[in-house]
Formats: sequence, structure tokens, C-alpha cells
Amino acid sequence: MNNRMLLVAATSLLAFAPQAQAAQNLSKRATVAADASVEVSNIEGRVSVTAWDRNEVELTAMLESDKDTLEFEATEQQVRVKVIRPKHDFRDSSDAILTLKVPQRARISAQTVSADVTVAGVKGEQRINTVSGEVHTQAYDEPVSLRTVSGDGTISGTGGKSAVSVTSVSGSTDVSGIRGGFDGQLVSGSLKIDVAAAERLSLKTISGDIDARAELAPAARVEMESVSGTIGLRIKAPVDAEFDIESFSGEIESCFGPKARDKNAYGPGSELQFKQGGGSARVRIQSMSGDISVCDH
Amino acid sequence: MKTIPFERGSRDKDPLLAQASRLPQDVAPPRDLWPAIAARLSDQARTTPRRFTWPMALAAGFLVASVSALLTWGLMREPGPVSGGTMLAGAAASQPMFVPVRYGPNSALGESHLKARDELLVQFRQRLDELPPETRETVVKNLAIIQRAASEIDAALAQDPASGMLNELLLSTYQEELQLYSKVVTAGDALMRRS
Repeated sequence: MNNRMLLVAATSLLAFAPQAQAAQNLSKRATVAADASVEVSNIEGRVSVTAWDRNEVELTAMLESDKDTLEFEATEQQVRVKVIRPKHDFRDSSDAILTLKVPQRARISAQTVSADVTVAGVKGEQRINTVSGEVHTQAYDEPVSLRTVSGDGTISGTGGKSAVSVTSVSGSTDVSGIRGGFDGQLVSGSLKIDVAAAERLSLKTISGDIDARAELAPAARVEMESVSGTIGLRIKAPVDAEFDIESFSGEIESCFGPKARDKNAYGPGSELQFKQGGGSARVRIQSMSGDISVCDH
Repeated sequence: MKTIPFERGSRDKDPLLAQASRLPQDVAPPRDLWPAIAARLSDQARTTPRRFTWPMALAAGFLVASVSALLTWGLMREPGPVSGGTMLAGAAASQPMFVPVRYGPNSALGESHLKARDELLVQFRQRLDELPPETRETVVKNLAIIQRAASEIDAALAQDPASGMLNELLLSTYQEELQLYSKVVTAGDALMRRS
């Protein structure tokens, strides 16, 4: 089979076992480009993706239910893996465990409902969407995007300059070891981030708590906002930034610079505006009732 | 340091005060400046009723993109075998009550925002019914959090209607609501495309 052409190992493995509820153990392999796109979709269970030093994708799957179907399609540039459940029954909590080995520079797109996702050693772009699964992945130099409804997540950076974004409804997400930029949005839950040489940080929350540690690059731009969640920003000293902080009814605390003052004598609201060092970076934080704290240690 | 007493007769004794007292009491501008100032204030009031214009534009952009993407997706997707019917009826019986976020009288969200949201809600309701019960519960619980935030912001806007910050937070809250619907709709794709 010519790998340069549209190679299709379009194999729908309708492996109905002779006995009900017999597990299906399946495996597939395809030769792909070093930066091939790998799309994985699973409903319940687990997806594990590990990088290896071959230009091949290897899939090992264990489907607990004999009613589930595994779809595997591969071309040189794209691999699609999908668990198909003919009729979703919530009482049937059969897992599908997918284990993939992919080239290091592969680009990953994973979509799961109640399946956990683990990605290790993959240096290509990653887009991971889950409803309630947990996600653990690593960030190198390419963008990493994580969207969850209720799952927890960790993104461990390796010091590369990767644009990482997280949108979470209620999960708890921990992002560390990244450089450059970060974009985070959450409704509730919590978000903890640690960013080196941050050039751009954008963090928004409704009632979730944000705990951010950042080393600001010169001319960095930081935007944070909250309705009722608390915002904590710890900036690595020496701080060289201009601050514009405002809250309608939350408290504003800073362990350096002046104290916050009331916006006016008779109405609500407090604000804190000051420059620390040369003021090359810009930090803008606003909240309605959430407390804000800024510190340099 | 010499202190000059300011009783009425002292300016006659001090030559500097005497000179100062001869200066005109008011200086009229060479032309009437007020009409130009009034015109500029009026223009400003017309163009920027609140610090709301650019966030509105952002929200509108986001809204158009979301609705467009979801409508395209809705047209393109394969029809799933499990449509409405028994599945929805069965799931609906056990699902927690879902109510879209209501924005109060002080929240300057237009009819167009709410209409666009209502279109998205049709798809959202279908997908919500298909989610696992615990996830459905999480979604409904978080919509309640968004509702609380919207209500708090509305109450705050009653005190400070022109606050740019509150209006920005209101739009962020509205966007979070739409994003939540969008997440559920796109996540449901994995469930819907079944053989």
C-alpha cells in the first residue's frame, strides 16, 4: 500500500463477540507523517497518548462492551479513532480504553465525554475537549487548548514557549512550567497557573478562584477579571509594571505600592492605580465582589 | 520672611498690592467658547452613551461566530439514530430543572443578544438531555452560578449604571453562558454521531 497516497485503512471493526458483554481487544497500526493529525473520540473510559520516535501510529483498544464499535481511519496526514456506541444507555457504563503511540510531532485532537485523557511527550499542537473526564498533558512549544465542563486538568509545561488556553466550567485546573502566554476562563472551580516570561495573560472567572504566579516579560499585558471569585496574582520580583485595579465591592490588597482607596466618598467601589519600577508591563484587574490580592513574593 | 497684612488699607501702602488691585476683575475670552464645547459634549454623549461600545462589538462578534459555527455544525452533522423520542423523554424525567439565565432590568443586553441565545438554546436542550446525569447536574449548577453573577451585576448596575467595569463583567457573564451552551452542544457531537 502506498503511504504517499491516500492510504486508508478504513476499518470499521464491528467485532461482535459471540457472547454478550465479551470485551473486545483490538489493535491497529499505520505509517504516518511526522506531524500527522491524530483525532481521537471516546465516550467513556480512557484515552492515553504517548509519543515515540517512529512515524507510526499504533492503537491498542479494549472495549468492555461488545456493542461498541471502533472506527480507525488512517491516511499519511491524518488518523481518526472513534468509539461508536450504537445507543447510548447511561446504565451501561462500559469503558473503552484506548492506548495510542504517535510520532513526537503529531498534532492531537481528543474529544471525550466521560473518559480521562492523558498525553505524554507529544510536541505538536493539542486540542482536548472533555465533558467530565480528567486531563493530564504536557506543553512544549506548540499551542495547547483544553476545554472541560466538569473534569479536572493538569498541564505541565517543559519550559517551552507554548500558547496555552484553558476554558473550564467547574473543574480544577493546574498549569505550570509554561512560558509566554496563557488564556484562562472558568465559571466555578479553580485555576492555578505558573507562567515564566509572561507576555500576555488573560484570565476570567465568574465564581471560580484564580491563583496566578507570573514572571512578567517587559511590556507584558495582564488582564484579569472576576465576578465573585478571588483573584491572586503573585509577580516575581523585581516588579516593573503599571497597575490598574478596580473592584465594586471586593477587597483589594497589595503587598507593595500604595493602598487601595474608595472610588468616591459616598458610593461603592475601590481602586488602586500605581506604577512599580519603570512600569513597562500593564496589569489590569477588575472584580465585582471577588477579592483581589497582588504580591511580589 | 515678610508677611503682608490683608486689611483694607494695606494695599494702598504696598506698591505690589496696589498694582494687583488695578488688574481687571475678570477677563472675557475673545469669542464665545460655549457653543463649541456644548456641541462636542453632545457628540460624545451620542457616540459613547457608556463605556460599552467595544465590549458590545466583541460580544457581538463572539455571538455571530458561535451561532454561525453551531448552525453550520447542525446542518452538516450526520443524523443520529437516537433522535428526540424516547431517549429525550426518558432523560427529561430525571434531569435537574434547567432555566436559562435571566438578565435584570439594569443589564443592557438587547433583544438581539437574547434572540441569538434562544436559537442556541434549542440545540443545547437536546444535548443536555443526552449527557450523563452527573454532568447534567454540573451544567445546571453552573448555570445557576452564572445566574447569581448576572443578578449581582444587575443589582450593582442599579447603583452605578455607567460603570464600564460592571458592563464589561456583564458581557463576560453573558459570554460564559453562551460558551457553556456551546461546550455542551459540541461535546454532544461525540454522542450523536453514532452508527
